Amino acid sequence: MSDLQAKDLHTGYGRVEIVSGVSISAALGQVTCIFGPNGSGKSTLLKAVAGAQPTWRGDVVYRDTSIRDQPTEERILGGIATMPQGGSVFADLSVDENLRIGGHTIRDRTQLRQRVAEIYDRFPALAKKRRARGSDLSGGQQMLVSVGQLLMTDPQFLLLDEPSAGLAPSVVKEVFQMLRELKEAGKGILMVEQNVRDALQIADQIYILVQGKLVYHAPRADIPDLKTLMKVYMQV
Amino acid sequence: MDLLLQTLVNGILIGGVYLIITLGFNLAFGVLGVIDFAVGEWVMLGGFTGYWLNHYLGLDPLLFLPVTFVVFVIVGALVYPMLARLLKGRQHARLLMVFVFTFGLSTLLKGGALTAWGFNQRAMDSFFSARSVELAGVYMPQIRLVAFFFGVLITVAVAWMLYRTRFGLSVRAVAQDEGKARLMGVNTNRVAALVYALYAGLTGMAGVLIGVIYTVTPQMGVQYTIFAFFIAVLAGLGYVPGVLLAALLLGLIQAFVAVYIGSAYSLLIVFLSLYLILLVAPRGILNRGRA
Amino acid sequence: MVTSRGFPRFLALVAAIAATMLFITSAQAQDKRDFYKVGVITSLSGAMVYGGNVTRRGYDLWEQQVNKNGGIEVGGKKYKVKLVYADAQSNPQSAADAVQRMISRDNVDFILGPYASSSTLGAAPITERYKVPMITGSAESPSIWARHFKYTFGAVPAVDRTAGEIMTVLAKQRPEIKTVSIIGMNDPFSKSTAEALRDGAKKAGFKVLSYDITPPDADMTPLISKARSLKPDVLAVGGEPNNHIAVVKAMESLSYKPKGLVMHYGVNTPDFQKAVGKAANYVIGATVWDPSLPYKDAVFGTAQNYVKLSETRYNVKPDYTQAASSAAGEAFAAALNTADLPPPLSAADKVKLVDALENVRIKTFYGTIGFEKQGPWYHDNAELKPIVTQMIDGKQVLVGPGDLGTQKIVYPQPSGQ
Repeated sequence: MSDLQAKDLHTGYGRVEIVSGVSISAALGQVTCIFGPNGSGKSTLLKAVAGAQPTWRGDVVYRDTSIRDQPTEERILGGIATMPQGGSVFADLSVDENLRIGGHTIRDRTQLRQRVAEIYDRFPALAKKRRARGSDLSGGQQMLVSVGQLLMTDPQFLLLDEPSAGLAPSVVKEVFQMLRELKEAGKGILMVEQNVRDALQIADQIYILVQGKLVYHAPRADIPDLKTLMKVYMQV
Repeated sequence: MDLLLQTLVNGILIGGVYLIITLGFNLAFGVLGVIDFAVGEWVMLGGFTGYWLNHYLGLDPLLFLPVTFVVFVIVGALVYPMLARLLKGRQHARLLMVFVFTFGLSTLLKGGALTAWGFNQRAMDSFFSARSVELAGVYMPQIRLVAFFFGVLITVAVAWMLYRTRFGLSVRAVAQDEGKARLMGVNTNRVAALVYALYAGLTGMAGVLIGVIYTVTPQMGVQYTIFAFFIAVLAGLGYVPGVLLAALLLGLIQAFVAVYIGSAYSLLIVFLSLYLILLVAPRGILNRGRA
Repeated sequence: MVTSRGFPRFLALVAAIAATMLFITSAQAQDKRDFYKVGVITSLSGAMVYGGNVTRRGYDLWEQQVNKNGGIEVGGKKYKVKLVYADAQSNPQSAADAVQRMISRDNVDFILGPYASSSTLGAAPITERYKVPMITGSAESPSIWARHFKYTFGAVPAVDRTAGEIMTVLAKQRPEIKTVSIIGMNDPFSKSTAEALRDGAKKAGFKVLSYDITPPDADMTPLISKARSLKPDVLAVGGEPNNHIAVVKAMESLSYKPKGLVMHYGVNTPDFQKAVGKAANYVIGATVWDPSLPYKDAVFGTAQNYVKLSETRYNVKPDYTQAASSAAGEAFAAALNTADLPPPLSAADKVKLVDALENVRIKTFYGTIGFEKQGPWYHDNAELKPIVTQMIDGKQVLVGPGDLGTQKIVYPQPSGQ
């Protein structure tokens, strides 16, 4: 059931440990949310799962195999794609180039071209902006490009770091709608969010992280309503 | 009128020399985000490689350009891991460490060359040395024409690589945001290593050409370090197409100042113009480099 | 913080330091050596390392020969010399620092000075402050002597008394010459050379078409193109040998050869000869010394013998700078002898040595040395006359003035424009 897991994971920057012994699991067809105050280590945890951050101790397990020593490239090939905080658009690359770098792990040129075309089919708004530079796009368009980049490799698991941060409310709604569709299409989503209210709408499982430690976990059946959750959140 | 045209040509051809030194340097800066203070020493060692090969084999030094390229690509690939250790290490002030490392490397290479080969100036001649092409009273030194076209050729080749290949796209991505690029599955360490090797190879070849045009001495490096840095800033740090323009501009400023204002003022005017340009466009003349 | 308890300890420390210093200074005062400690300050690194080594060879050869003869004779006894080196690093500030260190740490008796006028100008104020006499075997810029440093002397006549002679000889031998263009490098020596060439040209009745001072590192093609467009009969360059290489390479690449080419200094150096090959032919220069001149002394023998000594030890043919550097040591020896100053020299001895140097007038393998006591060339060697040379088939041939010349200047040079 749990296809992607962190087991007793420790990591940090320099000599400072940021995440201390966290275990979480995420499954396909589900949205798993990690909440927590700023500096709680949730983004760092996500990076460790993505392979952008070394795991000091503990393990990362995907489909019952340890991927802890796999570089990001191999994890992507295995089906785990990641969108960093603020999206993954490169300001000086065109939309087209942004999508192609999203599909960097696809070595076959024809296949790459085909994937780009599929993304344009999916997001017709982007097709009109092929040549535009990343920095010339609106916030919403940038988010579209980021999702497009994410989907280039047709991953099984999507790791998202605050996908709603800095977006207009109307765009946030669209993003969560998109995530809901992806979930329904069978993708597994593991995301870090500050926007608890909207995230709860699509969450199947939640974790709360404080100072690098897991303090709360609620599986699908036990997810409380927002009010109750906020109470919990405030207490910890 | 003749002198005006001649000065224009002189300036453009001086710019060609600068172009070949700065191209790789700017590329490496873009990807690694650090200034390699040893750039002038790679030029110097490239010059000596050409000189010794020419000395012992007697063939035209320009024929050794490919060999020099290969040798310095290997040297670059060997040096890069040391740089990477510092860049990716856990120390504070990593950029300062890299600065100290390249500065030390530069001193070491210069000192080593001085000890090994002495302080003498060495000259090597190509088939194109001491020949010129005359066109309507304007003289174009053949060796400088060769260097200029070589510079343009490698600029086009590097630009093609950057804008038309998968590897080039990943290089540009790493230069802009290494973290994002890594999340896209780009092996950023491998990209940086290859770019550094490429930079060393290009700079080594620049050394051969400079050695043929001027002379080779263990101390020749310093001024090229300064010029490379200068042009890279003017071009927009990390922005390769700007290099062509910045190199030509610098060559032209030098030539015109020397003839029409006074050579003694050339450095002053060069730095003044750099200052003014950066005041208006802090990201370089085309406003596309790193701020 | 000095606590009440720590105070006695603090006093003890002060006392210990004071005692140590006293010991060191008294040890210095009692420095009873039976040899002269001679400071050599010259550029052993940096852009002028080439010239620095020329002077060093000169100083080392003097040490070798003097010690071979048993040393410098003072009061009927012979004292050996020992050289200690300091690196001027080709820049005036480092030269000043190095001299300061050498004087305070090594307590040298006298100093053999740096290569190049710029370094000499850096070092001279320091020797002045500490009152230690210095003779330089190479500095040629008149700007040094105009400043009237009491403790600084020069073995080579200032370039404004030598380079101009080239123009005088050119005018006398080749009246068809009417115009010159001048390029000078922007350092004290080269600039003075260019000025001397310009003033000499004007005095000789030539028209000076252009006069450009350039940073030595700059690309030379723009200035060569400029000179060519003015079509001067003679192109004259003031610079160091490496600058001349750059100029010749630029001229060759533009297929330009003037009818007459003057380069001062160093066109007879092996580096220049090797680097520019045939293009070195017919270049006109000046010197104050040549091995063919009939000079000799007790330390080195004849000028020819000096060449042999240099070739044996370094496999290098000496030029006038190297010869002057060796002769500088002889001037010190003569002054020490007449003033009767055995080693080590006290502060008062060093002042006496300066007085003695002012009155030295000796004949050496390098020619006569005698220093000016006043005027614009204060303390510069006034006894040598410039000789004009031309490179012909790899050899430096004397071409004037007057009887000193063995043949007439070749002008215009073959295929000169």
